[in-house]
Amino acid sequence: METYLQTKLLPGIIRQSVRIRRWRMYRVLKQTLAVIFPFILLGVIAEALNSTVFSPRGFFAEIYHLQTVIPFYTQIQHILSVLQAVTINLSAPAVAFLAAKFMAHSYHKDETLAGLTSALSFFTFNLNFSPGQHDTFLIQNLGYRGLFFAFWLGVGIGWLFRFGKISQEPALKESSISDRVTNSLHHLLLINLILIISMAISYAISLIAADGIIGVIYSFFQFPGTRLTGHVSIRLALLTTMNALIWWAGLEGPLNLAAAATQGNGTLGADNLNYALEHNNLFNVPHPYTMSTIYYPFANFGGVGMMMALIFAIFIVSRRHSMREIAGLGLAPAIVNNPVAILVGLPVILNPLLLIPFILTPLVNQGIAWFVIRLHIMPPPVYTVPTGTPGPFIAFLGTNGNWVALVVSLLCLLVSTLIYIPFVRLTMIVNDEAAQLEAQDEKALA
Amino acid sequence: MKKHWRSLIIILITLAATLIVLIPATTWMTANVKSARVIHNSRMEPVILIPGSSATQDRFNTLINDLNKQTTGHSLLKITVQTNGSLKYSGRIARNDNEPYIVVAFENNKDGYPNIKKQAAWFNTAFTQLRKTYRFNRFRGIGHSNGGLIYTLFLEKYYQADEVTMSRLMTIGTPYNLAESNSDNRTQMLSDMIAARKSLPTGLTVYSIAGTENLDGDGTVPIESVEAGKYIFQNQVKHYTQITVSGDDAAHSDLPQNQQIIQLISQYIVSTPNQQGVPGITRTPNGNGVGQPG
Repeated sequence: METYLQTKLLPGIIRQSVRIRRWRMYRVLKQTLAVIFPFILLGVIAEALNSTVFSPRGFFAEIYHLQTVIPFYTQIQHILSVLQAVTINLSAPAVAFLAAKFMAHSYHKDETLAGLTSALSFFTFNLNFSPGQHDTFLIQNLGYRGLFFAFWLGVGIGWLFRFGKISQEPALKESSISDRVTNSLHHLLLINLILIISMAISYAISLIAADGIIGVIYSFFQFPGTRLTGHVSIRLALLTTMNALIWWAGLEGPLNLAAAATQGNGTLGADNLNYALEHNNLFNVPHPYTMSTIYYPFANFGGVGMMMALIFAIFIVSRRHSMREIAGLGLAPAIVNNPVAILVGLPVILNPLLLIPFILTPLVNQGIAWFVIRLHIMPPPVYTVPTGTPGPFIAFLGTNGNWVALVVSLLCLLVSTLIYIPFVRLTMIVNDEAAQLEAQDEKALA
Repeated sequence: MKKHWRSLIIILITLAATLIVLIPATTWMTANVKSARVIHNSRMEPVILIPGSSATQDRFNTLINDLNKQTTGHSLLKITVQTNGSLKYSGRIARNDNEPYIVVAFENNKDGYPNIKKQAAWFNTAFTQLRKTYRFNRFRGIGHSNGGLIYTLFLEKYYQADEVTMSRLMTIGTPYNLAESNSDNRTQMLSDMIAARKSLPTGLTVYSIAGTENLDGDGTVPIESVEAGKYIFQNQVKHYTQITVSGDDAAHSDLPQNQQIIQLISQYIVSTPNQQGVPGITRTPNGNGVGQPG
């Protein structure tokens, strides 16, 4: 078994992963995410600060009574919201630009024009056609929510520029202004065609969906979690797996930050809370296994896919400076369960190697929690905790200070980290081999 | 060796950071759960009734019997405040009853402004004790005759809006200007009440009911004295409504048995006349839930 693992399976996985790394589209993805990462990071940190420190229901604001401590509280909150609005909430058009740019670049075509066309096309797809509304664009689609569509749109438009007449090299090297104008004019037909087609599709979609093409994409993922039949643990497992897959694909899953902030507000949570407040005993609450007693307190440390465990795994095994640096940058938002920085930075998005632990760890953790609650060793956490409560503390606080819950949380963190470690090792090997091959390619070109 | 030191320092820093976060978080959570529990278990909003002078805690028995006949009913607790400030209870509040009737009467139930002031203080004693026992944070009130004066004095002098909310008050035949029928001749009491009106809760809805047996009033209280309530409440509380009832049972002491007033009470004061799950009180026409006279 072990020999099979060592001689066949692992080299096979590594070979396949290296091959995927060298795909044009995967390289475009990595390049795009690498450029967008600083902006995303800034937005994520602003978002994390805003939701935990500068909002009255935030974790740090609650426990340290920061609203009365920090001067200019609402002003700072406002500035952070703006910072978030111009970075992460406008990241999708930037991704559309970058994806098309790098795609066209890989074909040695005019990358700037491709990027610009792509960004404009993305805006066209998110025009607000609804009458009587003042926003020109569907602003909600320009952030992380629109990233997936923006990337593939960019890739598609970049690919279309492959058929553009003039390659970038001569035009740019002798860059007189008139040359550039001529170059742009050569692409006039292509650009206009793309924009007109975008407009036509966008308008057609506006007739059936108010939320544009991105709304249509998300409507496919309207997972009927509550309508599923079967045992409650299977329902939870399916929903969380689906959620992880959606996030992995670069979309915003249903169990996002907004959902986490309102966890426990549903009817099941209210039932549990009523029971707990009346009886002062959490063990016999009416719904011991729900999203807010199993998933959020035990399987969402650092956000979707136990990103906190991934970060710890990187700290433990990775010796590569860049990887450790990204993990370090992603740690602060991950403490308050914001996963976006590490998802984009590493990246985890569309990374086939990390898909397995990304789906597995939440399932294992929910299993542990389910088992411990089932055996009445630990009560289910039913009290609502403030927004952005660090993952390992949610269960402890949500049970109003049950030490077993804290121990189980730490156990979950440990198990998840152990699950991530081999995959981080594999990622390092694949990264090294892919880097070597890239270096060879460049040598061959030069 | 150097490596070990680094790991040790990292572990210590992590531990310290954890404690810095976890200790206040635990404190906050415990306090939060505690207050949530108190709020959760105080969904009770009793209707507290104060009888007029010379009346005992059984003054409202007929009224509550009649109210309970029309509905599934609520339980009744009766309290008489002794002159030394101690409380005598009879009857009980049914478990899960969110809107019980509580009658607060006084051992010294004599008329007269100095005595009414004392009764307001006694009422405050009983009210504080009730709040401690049943932990409600909202209540409604009915005052018959001088009971309405006691309520007014209580609201102006003792009521603390940040601890408890009185949403509705109904005064029945309350002589805001005592026996004076000319509103230009303000009694000391009325002047005092007008002077302190700014302390009345601004969210309160007041219904003042006047009985008119003849054109002068209900036979005991002049209608002008009831109407003088507007000088106290109008433009200070949220709503002030005066209702005049005439016909059968419109004499001063019959007012709590007046069918129209009972209608008004069940319409304006009792918010959940048919509360589910109040045990022991069903639609029995014999006034179940009214404690034995004690």
